[in-house]
Amino acid sequence: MKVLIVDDEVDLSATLVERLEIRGFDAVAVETGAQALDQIRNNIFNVVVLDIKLKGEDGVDVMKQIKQVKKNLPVILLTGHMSKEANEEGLKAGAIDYVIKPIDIEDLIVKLREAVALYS
Amino acid sequence: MKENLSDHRGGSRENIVFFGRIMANVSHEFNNIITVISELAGLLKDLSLLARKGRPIPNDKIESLSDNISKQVARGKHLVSHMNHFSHSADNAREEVDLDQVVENMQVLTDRLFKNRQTDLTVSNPSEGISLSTDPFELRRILFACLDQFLDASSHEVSVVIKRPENGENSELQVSGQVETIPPDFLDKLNALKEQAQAINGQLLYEKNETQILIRLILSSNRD
Repeated sequence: MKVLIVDDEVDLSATLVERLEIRGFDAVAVETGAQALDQIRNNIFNVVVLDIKLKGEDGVDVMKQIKQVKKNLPVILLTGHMSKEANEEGLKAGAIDYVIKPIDIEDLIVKLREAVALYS
Repeated sequence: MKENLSDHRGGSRENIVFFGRIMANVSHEFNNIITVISELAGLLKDLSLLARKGRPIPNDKIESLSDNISKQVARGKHLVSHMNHFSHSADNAREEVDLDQVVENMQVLTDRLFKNRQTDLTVSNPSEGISLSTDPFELRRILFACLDQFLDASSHEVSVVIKRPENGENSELQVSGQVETIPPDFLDKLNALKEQAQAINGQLLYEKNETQILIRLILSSNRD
């Protein structure tokens, strides 16, 4: 399973890549929406993990652009918000699920597998 | 020189909104720091489980993870220190403040707000520090309100210049930047800020054209 991680916290995404690779995933990390779109246009991913608050960018807007390029690519939002309303907003905009920071890696993996199973 | 809280502080609603915006921004930063540390700790655990199964952890990997954790702890300490200065700025209605430190404090605490809007905030300090007697919390709130005008105006570059005038009597903060648009409520907000500046014995002036705003906050040490 190939996972694209989009987060401007470089130390976080690099560590997440390593943890996913230890668990048998193929993961790539980028920092910006533009880099994410570039990756998606040129590579095949099964799922995207996207921070909802990128520096200078709204993660939900980035997700909408991703959906324009690959309509059936599932997106899981990474969010720091504890507010259920804010997270529900992301789901309404097209995310398949969300994970609240700090990340529970096992929870993320369950959601990655569910997302891919649903879209395959 | 310290003085008890007095009535000159702005409306409590404004103060709460200001405090709330700073707290929301800083708590987001803290959550990011905690998340990175949590992932680094998780990776260490993953690697130690692999080591038990016979895949040793290279020493340089442990050193690199340890360095990363230390980096995040230093980031958190820096933020905590500035949050603490900010919180204590509400303790006294008047005390000696260092303008450099006040500006640096607001720069650190609003860093993510500016980065979120892709706005660069630069600060120019004079060669020697400037101290004056004022309300440290109100000064921060008015400075933040000035900076906020540039976020509303979609500015990409904002500069704060700390100036000591020639006669040495009054200090001045100049906030300026190119803007894409002047917000419709700009004049109302600036006029309200003028009154608030007067309450801390300051004077707020501004110049604007279609593409640039300059706000001058002139601060006198003499209160009466």
